[in-house]
Amino acid sequence: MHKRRRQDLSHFFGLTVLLFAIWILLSGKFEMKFILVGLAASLVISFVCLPFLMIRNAKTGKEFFIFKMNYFKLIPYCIWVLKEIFKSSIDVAREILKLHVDYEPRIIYFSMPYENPMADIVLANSIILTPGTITIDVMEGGIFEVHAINKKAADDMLSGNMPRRVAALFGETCQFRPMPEAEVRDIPKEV
Amino acid sequence: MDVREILTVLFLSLGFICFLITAIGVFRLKDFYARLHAAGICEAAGLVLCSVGFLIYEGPSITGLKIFAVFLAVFIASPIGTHIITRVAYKESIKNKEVE
Repeated sequence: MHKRRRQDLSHFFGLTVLLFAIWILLSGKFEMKFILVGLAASLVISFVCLPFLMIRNAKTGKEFFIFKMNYFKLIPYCIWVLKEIFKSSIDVAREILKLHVDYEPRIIYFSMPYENPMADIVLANSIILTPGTITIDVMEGGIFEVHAINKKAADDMLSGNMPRRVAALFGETCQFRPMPEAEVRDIPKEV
Repeated sequence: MDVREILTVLFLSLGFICFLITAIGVFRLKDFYARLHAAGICEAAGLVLCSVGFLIYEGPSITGLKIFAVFLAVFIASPIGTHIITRVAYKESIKNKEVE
């Protein structure tokens, strides 16, 4: 209980600092009056909003703070994602500017059961940001349903590079596994 | 023209090319999902290149930081829209139906 209280406090101050930085950025004024008002506003807002920013794992019920990740690995990850974006942008552009349009779209499945729901969100967003792949759905048990525009995009996705990097970002230890379509069809779908 | 302006023009032109390819792609590709892939180019690469161009033009100032904040907000929020459109289309079973 005591440890949990201390963790909540560190989340509270982290959120306050973030909101205050945004205040300074948007106001651009450094007079005492504005800074005090901003500090008060960020304290009140982070006190009210902290419970909403805790995200719960549906299965185990464990709670996670959404901004808690390994920030030293975040910057290399962002640079890597930017590199991937440009690489696959060129691939999709080649597909578009071909004389005869003959791409072969396909849907692929892989399983990556993260414990932290925020990792699901980061991975799904990264997949959509990379042109050529779109996350259609994240099913129960961390099964990702991804639409890919051609074989190269699908192979890049199924090599499991991106899911492993996201796992390192959140300190997760789970195994990447590509899934054939027949295996996914047996899983009962929610209505 | 100094180096900064040349770099700005270079990055903005590259961003413009991304938007142009997106526009061509939305017309040329045949089915619904492939058109979303084409839209992904301007959403990701075009946005990055244009933001870099604006940042170089503005230099290190509070306006530059604001541009970066706008870039970050669009970068995080725009995939969610794409995801919702795709998911609804898939659930309503527009399954690779060709669009004329």
